[in-house]
Amino acid sequence: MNATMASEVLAEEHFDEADLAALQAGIRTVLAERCGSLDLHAFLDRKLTLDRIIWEEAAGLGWFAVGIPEVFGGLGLGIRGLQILHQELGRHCVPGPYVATLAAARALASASSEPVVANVLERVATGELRIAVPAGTAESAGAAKNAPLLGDSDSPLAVVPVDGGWALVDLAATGSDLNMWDLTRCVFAAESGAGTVLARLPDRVGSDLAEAMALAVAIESVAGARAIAEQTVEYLKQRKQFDRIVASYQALKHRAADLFMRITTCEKIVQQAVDLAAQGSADAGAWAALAKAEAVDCYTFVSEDCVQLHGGVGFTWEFDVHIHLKRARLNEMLVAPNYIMRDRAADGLARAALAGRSTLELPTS
Amino acid sequence: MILDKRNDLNAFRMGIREWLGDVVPNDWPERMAVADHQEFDAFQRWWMAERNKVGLGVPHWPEEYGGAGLSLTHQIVLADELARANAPTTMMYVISLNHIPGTLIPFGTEEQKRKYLPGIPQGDVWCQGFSEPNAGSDLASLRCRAENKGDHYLVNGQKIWSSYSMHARYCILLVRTNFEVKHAGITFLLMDMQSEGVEVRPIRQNNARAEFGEIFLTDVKIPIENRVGEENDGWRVCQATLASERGVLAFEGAERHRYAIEKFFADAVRDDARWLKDDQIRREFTGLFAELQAGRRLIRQLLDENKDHASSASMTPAFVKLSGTALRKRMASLLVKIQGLEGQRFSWGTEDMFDQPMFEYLTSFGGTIAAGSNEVMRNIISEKGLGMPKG
Repeated sequence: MNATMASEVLAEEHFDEADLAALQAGIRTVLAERCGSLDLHAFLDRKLTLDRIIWEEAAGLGWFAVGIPEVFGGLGLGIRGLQILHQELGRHCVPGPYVATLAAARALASASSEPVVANVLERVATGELRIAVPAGTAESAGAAKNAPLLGDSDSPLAVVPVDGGWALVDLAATGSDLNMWDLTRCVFAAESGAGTVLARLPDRVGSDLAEAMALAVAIESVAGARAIAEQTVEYLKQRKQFDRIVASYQALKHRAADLFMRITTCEKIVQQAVDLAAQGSADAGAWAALAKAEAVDCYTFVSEDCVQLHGGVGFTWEFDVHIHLKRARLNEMLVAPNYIMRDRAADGLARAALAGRSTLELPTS
Repeated sequence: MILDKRNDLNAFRMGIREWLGDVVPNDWPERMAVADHQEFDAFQRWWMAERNKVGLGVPHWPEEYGGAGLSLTHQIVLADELARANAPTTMMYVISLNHIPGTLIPFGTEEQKRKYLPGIPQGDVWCQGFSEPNAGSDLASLRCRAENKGDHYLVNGQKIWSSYSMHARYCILLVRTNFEVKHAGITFLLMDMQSEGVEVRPIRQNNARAEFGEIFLTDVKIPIENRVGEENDGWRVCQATLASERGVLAFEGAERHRYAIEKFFADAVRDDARWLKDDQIRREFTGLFAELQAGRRLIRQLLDENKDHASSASMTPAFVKLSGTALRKRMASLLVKIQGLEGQRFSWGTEDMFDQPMFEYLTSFGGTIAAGSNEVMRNIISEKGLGMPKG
């Protein structure tokens, strides 16, 4: 194995676009080698503990440190570093509690520096700990008690609403897996009241967590959409019917063009949200919500069409399209269903408009 | 002078802003909405003259041809300020400003450059005689006949979709000089619209305006020295013509759209507009708001690629055309819904799509058809970009 550690690519405090590109290339190389189609299918069929294998690999290569501030033992690359990581995780449909753990860490890092939280973040950075979060309606402290959690049912740590506030909790017991259609993520039920509160957290953790999750899901969704669209076009170039390469039919070419048009558009929407988050904009939450809705709807649309473009094999377990389709549908429900995300975005944009703020500023040179 | 400030980009920007503040009349959009051909023509000429007074008639041309030699970065700042100020467009001069220098500078003779380029900042309008009734997307199938008579070409045929041809002094014309071959039988000519045998008939569009013309050519004599490039090499020349606009126009359009949508949304929020309470319409609008911003980012990517001279395999120009025109249509359609019955009353549109959505909606169909139909764009994206084989 010739994978490079994230920390070697990124000399501390001195990273630029070339370094980030090198980080991305490194992650992509590892995942292409270790998390290919055959590996994923072996995982779905319970013949390979791919989730554990990749997690350990990621830990060894320092990927979990990417988004965590240096003060907590991370690389301090913030949302831009996380963007690169989630792009590759989404592209390769990597099984495991990445969205939950990384979003929880991001929210925790800006919420508290008390020793117990610092200790947890340091151990997340090394890949030792996973953290669960509410799978849906994560922003409200008054959210339903014992609402389903996204994460790892064997791992007891969670950031959840407790007694009208937010807390870092040791759930103490193994949760019961709710068996999602999407086998690459785990949603589970747990008695949050039975756990031990390790640290009380400020209320803003709710909205920070919702924003971090929405961004992570948006980034992974549009990356997954691009991956399956590319894979599908390559399939069309191999497949022959009526003595013609199927990809030469204009009806299919135009559909492929429309898929990439929509993916390209959503990549820009996601980038807008990432940039606002990186700037610490007051409107980052609204754009994260908007990006999540747009990117996930794109992922569903693209995956559906890729099933059809594959023909009969697109309907089978053996091909990859259903993995993307199921991830897309679960993503749709994470944080909140997309119609609610759009409403939150509209509320946020309206607040900005009333305050006389533009959320659309871009550099012109 | 604005151009004296070019070494300081911010001072350059502020100079433009100040000039626009002084010179742009507030009521021009309303006046132009109801203007007839003559008023439109006069207003466009006035605006070109005003731009020329401050050295911004042909700001993007090289200095040796009378331009200001502005870098792409400076052109973008200028376009951004024009959009911010809701300044008049130069729509009558699109061919003059972009396609003529894009053709003559690389392919024209010294005489042609000296004769034709200086007239443009002085107000010469050019039109494009490329498409024909039976040569649309398949442009190279054009059949307008030109016979070489030694010192001139004798031209007979018909051209169509020539924007502002009824205002034009000159025309760039594609003609067929060889009927045995397709692409290799096309020649590129410069035609004086006042030549004998040239007749222009306006084409009335679905929005009741007449901006296009049909050009009928009957025994028109065009001097041999008006040929650009060699005889039968016109296809190569016209590729340069069609590639001459590098995205600044699309940029300016998208920036105008941005200011308009923000104002429309802020007004709706302040007025507590009823449509904001309709879940379906509000959600659809929010999505279009996001797509508009995506389009602005995509155009910036195109401009960056053009600064870096990206490869011709880039899908970005086709994506910009496909997404921008389709978005405009969907946005206009949603605005028609929001306006209700009132929006169905006939009204001339202004430059602002949010003023008269039905007019904008009807106009937007031109965008998805013109300048390479969106179907042609999908062919380009799938074949050149995605490597899907020709059928």
